[in-house]
Amino acid sequence: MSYVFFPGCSLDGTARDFHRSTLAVAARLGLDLPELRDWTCCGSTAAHGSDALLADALPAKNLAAAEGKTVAVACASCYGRLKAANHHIARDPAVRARVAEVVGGDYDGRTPVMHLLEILSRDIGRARIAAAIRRPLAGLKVACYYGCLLVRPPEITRFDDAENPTLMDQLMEVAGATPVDWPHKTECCGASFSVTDADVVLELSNRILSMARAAGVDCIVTACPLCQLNLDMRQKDIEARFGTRYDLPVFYFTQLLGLAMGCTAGELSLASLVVAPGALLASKGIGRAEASR
Amino acid sequence: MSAKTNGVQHAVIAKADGGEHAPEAVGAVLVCGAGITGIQASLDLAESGFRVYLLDSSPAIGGRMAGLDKTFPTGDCAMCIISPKLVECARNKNIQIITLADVQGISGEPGNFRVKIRQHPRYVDIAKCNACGDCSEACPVQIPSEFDRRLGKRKAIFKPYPQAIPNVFGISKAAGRAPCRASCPAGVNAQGYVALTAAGKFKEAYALIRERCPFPAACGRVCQHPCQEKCNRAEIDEAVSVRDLKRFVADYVHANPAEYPAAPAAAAKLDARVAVVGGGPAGLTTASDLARLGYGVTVFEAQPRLGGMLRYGIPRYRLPDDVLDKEIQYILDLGVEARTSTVVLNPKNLLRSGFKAVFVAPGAWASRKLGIPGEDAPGVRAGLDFLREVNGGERPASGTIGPRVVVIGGGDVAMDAARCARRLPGVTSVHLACLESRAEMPAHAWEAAEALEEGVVFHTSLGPTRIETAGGRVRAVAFRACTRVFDEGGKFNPRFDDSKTAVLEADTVIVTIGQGIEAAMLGVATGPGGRIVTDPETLATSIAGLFAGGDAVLGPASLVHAMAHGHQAAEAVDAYLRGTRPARAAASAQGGPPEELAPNPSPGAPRQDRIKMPQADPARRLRGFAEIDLGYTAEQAIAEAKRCLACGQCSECMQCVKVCSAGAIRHDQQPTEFELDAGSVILTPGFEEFQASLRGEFGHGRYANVLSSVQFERMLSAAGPTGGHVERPSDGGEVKKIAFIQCVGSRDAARGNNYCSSICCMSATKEAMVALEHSHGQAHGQKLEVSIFCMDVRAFGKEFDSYVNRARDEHGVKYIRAMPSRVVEMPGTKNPRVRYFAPGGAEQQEEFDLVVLSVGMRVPAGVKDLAQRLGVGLNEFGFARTDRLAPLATSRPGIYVAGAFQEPKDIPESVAQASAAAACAMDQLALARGTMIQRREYPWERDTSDESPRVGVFICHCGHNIASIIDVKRVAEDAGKMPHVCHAEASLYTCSDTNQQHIKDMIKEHRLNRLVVASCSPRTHEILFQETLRESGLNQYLFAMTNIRDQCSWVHKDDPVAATDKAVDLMAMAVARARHLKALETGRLPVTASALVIGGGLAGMTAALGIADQGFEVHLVEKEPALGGMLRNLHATLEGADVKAHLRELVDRVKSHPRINVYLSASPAGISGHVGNFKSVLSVAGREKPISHGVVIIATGGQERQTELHLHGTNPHVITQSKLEAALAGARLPAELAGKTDPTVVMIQCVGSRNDEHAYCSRVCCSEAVKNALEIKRRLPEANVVVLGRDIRTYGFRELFFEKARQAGVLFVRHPEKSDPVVVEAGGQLQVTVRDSSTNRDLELRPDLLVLSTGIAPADGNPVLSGQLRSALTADGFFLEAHPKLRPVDLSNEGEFLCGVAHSPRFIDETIAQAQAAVGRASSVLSKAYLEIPGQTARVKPELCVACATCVKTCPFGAPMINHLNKAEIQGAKCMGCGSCAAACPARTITLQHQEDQALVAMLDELLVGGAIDDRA
Repeated sequence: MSYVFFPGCSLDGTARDFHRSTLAVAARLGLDLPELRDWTCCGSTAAHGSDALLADALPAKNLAAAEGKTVAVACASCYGRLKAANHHIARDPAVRARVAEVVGGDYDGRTPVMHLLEILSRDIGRARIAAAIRRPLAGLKVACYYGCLLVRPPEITRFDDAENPTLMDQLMEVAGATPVDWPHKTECCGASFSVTDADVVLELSNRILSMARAAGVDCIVTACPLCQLNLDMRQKDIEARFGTRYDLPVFYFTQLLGLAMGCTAGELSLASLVVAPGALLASKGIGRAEASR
Repeated sequence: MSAKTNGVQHAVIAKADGGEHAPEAVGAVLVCGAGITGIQASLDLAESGFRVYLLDSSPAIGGRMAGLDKTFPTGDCAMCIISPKLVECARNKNIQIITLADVQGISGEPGNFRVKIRQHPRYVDIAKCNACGDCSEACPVQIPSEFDRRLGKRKAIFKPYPQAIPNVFGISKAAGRAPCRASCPAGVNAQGYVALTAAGKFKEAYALIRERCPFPAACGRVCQHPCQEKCNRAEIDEAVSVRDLKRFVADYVHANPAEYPAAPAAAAKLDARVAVVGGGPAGLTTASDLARLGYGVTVFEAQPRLGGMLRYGIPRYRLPDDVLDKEIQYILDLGVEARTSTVVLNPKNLLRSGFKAVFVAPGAWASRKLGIPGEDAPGVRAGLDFLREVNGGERPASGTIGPRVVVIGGGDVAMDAARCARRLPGVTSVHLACLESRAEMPAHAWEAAEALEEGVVFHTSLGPTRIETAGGRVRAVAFRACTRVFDEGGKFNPRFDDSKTAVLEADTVIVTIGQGIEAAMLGVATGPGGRIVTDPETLATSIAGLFAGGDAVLGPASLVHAMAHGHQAAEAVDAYLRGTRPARAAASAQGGPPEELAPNPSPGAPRQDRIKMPQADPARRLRGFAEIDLGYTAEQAIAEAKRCLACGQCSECMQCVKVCSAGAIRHDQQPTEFELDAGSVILTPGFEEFQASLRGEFGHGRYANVLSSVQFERMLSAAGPTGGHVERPSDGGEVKKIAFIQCVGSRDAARGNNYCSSICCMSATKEAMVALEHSHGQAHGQKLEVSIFCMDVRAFGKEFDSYVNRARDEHGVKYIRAMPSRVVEMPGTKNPRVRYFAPGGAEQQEEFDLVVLSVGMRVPAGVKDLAQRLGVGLNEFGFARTDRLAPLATSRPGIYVAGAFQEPKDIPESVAQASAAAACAMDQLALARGTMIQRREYPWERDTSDESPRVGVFICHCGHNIASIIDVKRVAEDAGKMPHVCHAEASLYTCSDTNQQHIKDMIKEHRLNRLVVASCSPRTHEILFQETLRESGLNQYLFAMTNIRDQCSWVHKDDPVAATDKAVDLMAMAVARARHLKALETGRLPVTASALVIGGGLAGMTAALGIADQGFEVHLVEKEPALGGMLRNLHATLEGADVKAHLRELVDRVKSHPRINVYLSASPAGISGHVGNFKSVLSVAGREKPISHGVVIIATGGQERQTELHLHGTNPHVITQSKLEAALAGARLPAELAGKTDPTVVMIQCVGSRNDEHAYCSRVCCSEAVKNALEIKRRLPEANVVVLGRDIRTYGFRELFFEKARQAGVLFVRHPEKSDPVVVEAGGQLQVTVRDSSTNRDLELRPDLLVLSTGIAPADGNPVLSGQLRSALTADGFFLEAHPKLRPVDLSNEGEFLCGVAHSPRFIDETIAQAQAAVGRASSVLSKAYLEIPGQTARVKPELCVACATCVKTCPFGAPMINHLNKAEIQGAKCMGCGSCAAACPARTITLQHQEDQALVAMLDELLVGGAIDDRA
């Protein structure tokens, strides 16, 4: 199957580490991810909170440009947005007509959209990933955190089991890590309230961190730039607000997969994580070879 | 008026017998679905003279009720009350129970349908099974029990529950075969032996393996185990170690020769001798099979020892010599002759020398060559030759191998060679080079891994170019890089890169690049690769009588394939010698579909890692050829075997066949199809529960301590998986806090279940109460806390609100008005934590020990297809489409519906509908009544009154149930010595058909006149033996039965001697009683075929018409001058049906019906008599009129309650709902609304209801309010309509209108308990203040119109009528039915029935159903010419009676009366034989026949003094 990659604004900005590690992992797997030409913002947050038409038209413009290829997405928010637009356009001829009018071309809402987790699990498959593993993440207990945007609304995203997704857990298992079954896989972290009402984020993200700690993990693994940002960048604030200490590194799943595949810390931008993972990785003997090089 | 006996039945029979014209209607009814609804309908129909086919898709009748622990609100044990009904069904000769069956199609028309049925196999012969349970005991397969909702386990051969009817076992088999079993080429039953291993039955497991595998120990070591590759367990964690288990079983039995199964009975020796050439696995398998068939077999082997590749190819560290020797010895012990070191050059000579057939299996022993320079140098060895030398016992001479060894090749042989080389003294290094990359290497992964572990160095992607020599000896091997091995087509087509080379130094090179076959010299036709060409099915070669198999035919293959070929060859040779075709060939010629594999039966089961076989330490391994794998211990093997998921369910291990003494097991049963004629069809398929895991946010199936309410019900049951103990499934720990979450799968538009399931509020309350009861004895002394999260509490049924109040006020059950948004499991404790918004709006999180999800009802899977096949319309949710005014009729005439499939409902409503559907079904068939029922003819009864007792005693083994504990022979011998006993014996199954005949023969032979049976429960079996007596011409009361199973062998398992003593005592007591038994007459009373119906409303008119349409006379009494009752106040149903039109039609039909006598302004002045013969006096407009009737139906209805609350009666703008409905029915709106665009209407619910004065709910008011609110919104969309109440109880499909009303903008404001709205008038304006629960604030409303829902009050005349009938009323003033669950329309006195609001407040459809139910129940009396009065009734000896009337006061059934001679007299028709009067009579002048004092005293004497007194007498 051939894909075009839609990085979206976050992977171009705050989540460059996600971007880099995605491409590093893709390279190791021989997965070709050419970037969608002339892509624009998907309309996440701003457009979809203010203008229904724009919220469908922006994704439509990008999806139409994919020319029928599968659009690969890493950002959970973009993923949800593109899927929602497809859903609306394919089901409602009126929406389709209005979108055609503003975008300047008819789009049928049928360009396939897949999240990276889906591509890795379904198209690439465990066997191929297993073959690319060089340094299994033995002894690393991880909490796979999917957040809400990948799985909701389930009738639109149709991503895995909406209440108990396991795609990321399976990948982490292949990578040699030990994923725990914990109950906050799909809790909300507060998402873009980070911008407008940070208190909400502190409260909600604190629940996730405290549950992860209760589950006894070494770190959290995410698949969404917003989740990663809230849990990682806000962790200090949360610790201060609630008078506790977590010190839980928050990785993108691509970073951990990359480590297991033998990528260097530089290739995976590990240095840009706010809660530094060095001590943890060193204690587990992960990535030591790279460090010594 | 003269009594008119029923002539209907006889008239019809006369017509049928007369042969003038047979009635077109068929006197039989098909009932589809055998839950309590189907059972009740069947009983009513059978009692009314119809044959019934009661069909169910499950193996037993009883449906969902059989799985309940208790019923609400009375707390009856569900099993205790349904079990008698089950037994009644089983005993009724006119109910034919058809289990495991589905309706395939239907043709014909109402009155005369032809139905096609498909019945699935039970694999047990119902006629032979005596339900002793030995099979289940022997069955090794443990699978999750569906009945216990997977909380417990059951066997593959099982009865769903002990009381199941039909009382026989059945086997469950999956749709496909277990993958392990299906994928074994040799056909070894892997699931079977794994199951037997799990059960610790190693000997049996071994015997099962040996049926298809002559090398269990070898196969358990070296098989490539295709069984494990397909194992469904791999989806969850890792495949079950099937091979290792086989090894364990074989080693265990070989180490314990006493466990070795007895040789199968030797087949008759056959004359023909067969030669087998080649003593490898294929040849030996054939030899073994043929020897077992009785042939003389001689095996010719070129090598000095038997075993072939097993011996000479496989290294000893994988398969030790002694293991193989033992296996081969077992084969030789079958009588196989072996000639080793004998080379057969020409097999044809064997044929000439007297062998009738020859099977050649020479194997594939040639090694392929590399074809490169230097290959012939000394030091270059062919792999197989090397292995043969190493394995043959004489190790290569020291110094001939190594010290540096290079192995070329990447297959299993290469690994064997490399690992053998590593073990040879003098070898320092072993390198292995192959063309393939590491991933492509053909060797099995574990072989390669073990080689690496042992220090073999791999060099992959290298092709050898030259073997370099120095001084004539090997020095090194030169390689070039191999860039690919296989081409795009997957063919072997290597490419090389000459620029990249490598050299490995070597002193010995072992070449293992493939095996060849040298068979040409045998003189048979050969094909590619030198393989022998054979017929693929018969394995015949080009020479007649000569067969071939194994590697020489297949090419190099594995042990299991060789065995498969060996079996095939044996079958082919046998067939050849018998002149037939092999069965296998015949089967494959038919081209059957490939075998389907059973899917994983437990996807998502918890992980349970494989138990690893212990292995020798790699460092020590290299010191020699000792075995590496060390084998399981018994404990390890059992634990590993228990990981098996039992994909095929039954494993066909045949243990059940071996233990069934009755010979009832039929593994070869096939589905059958047949047709039935039925006049009507009743659909009662019931419901299934919503799958709780679909509400993923609650974590059912993911979190151990989240159960569905159905699972919790099983947990509460004493017969359930935890024996009734409430515990946390995660750890079996104590439960201190339980939460119930209501409406899981109900009132849920997101999942398409918009309707309310009607029962869950009450069922959760009941489960809470039972759990509280069970927790009384908890160690911590702390009371169980229960919270029920619900949107509304829908306790709308009779006495329901009192029950909920009791739970809340006396037991502290908390009802929290919230729909939780999520349950999460807390790490560590595994406590489920519930998140919800508490009243007032704050988010709350609370931890519990257990969360129970109250799952709703939905239509069972498959019913949609059934409905389509039957042409029956369904509603949007898949329930039967019915009309509120004809609730039991489906869209297809002649097919009726009852129970939950019509609409979610509880047991009494279902039972009422069942009787109603029975009445509807009979309605069409009145002329065919009695035409298809069986009447048993008995011989004339022998008069035994002058005979002295001659007792026959039969002691039952009940399979092993009794005989394995109790010495039944001794009991029989002791019986034989007792006075008056003329015959005593013990038999395997006393209840079997053959034994019934035997008993009759014995009665005749010994001229017996008393029968004693010591066996199981009289509850199920007494009637059977009584029938046998009657068929022998003896009175049925000359029978005594004693239970030496349930209360003897079962409870004294540990003390067989004492149990036997007790059984002797019990038997002796029964014999003592038998001596005193007397023949009793059963009485007969003629029936007056008419009914008195009291009340001329909807219930009374519907009942009257139903009875009259059946051909019986009706007296309909109405106190008002006009018919109609409360129906006159109603205009339309919620769904919009025209009530007024229905009323007009009813009145017209009643008035014009020739068999209905209507008495207006009338009431009963006196009612006397009993079932079948009532004599009553009516007061009709002041005049008295005497009538006779066989039954009474109470249909006295009720009335709208009057109130002065909330300014009703003082303020003209305050009206009741019925006034509002009347106003809205007119063309003009009420004045308060007329001409306004947005008037405000406030409705107050439960005015004067659900309070301390009237605890009950009037059931209809919420829907009435919704109906009127919707009508207002329809006409004035801008109107503000606000409904104030505590709960909105729009149950069932009425919920849709509640939803509609909310969508239309009607506001529903919930106020807390005991915080009723306050209404005042201020300045001419009404003002209502109410506390809103959701915000905890007061709301003020200023309605233009205030509407009060005042509820329904019972009829004023109920107390008087209750006195006349001696029939009790409830505290609320409604009539009290005989049993609130299972006899909802019967009064406690026989022949008296009730329906409609006289029972309790109810809707139109419910009233119609109850009225028709009363018709169904009444018909079972009226349709009989006579009523039978059982012999066990009380009798008064008038001489001693002083007419003290104690008996009259004592009897609960009103049977005794003081007669005109001023003596007590028992009315036989009313006497239930309970004996209360006999016990109470101060003059001791009443005796209960069949339970007389002498007999009881004799029994006690027997027990206490060994019968001495009796003997003297």
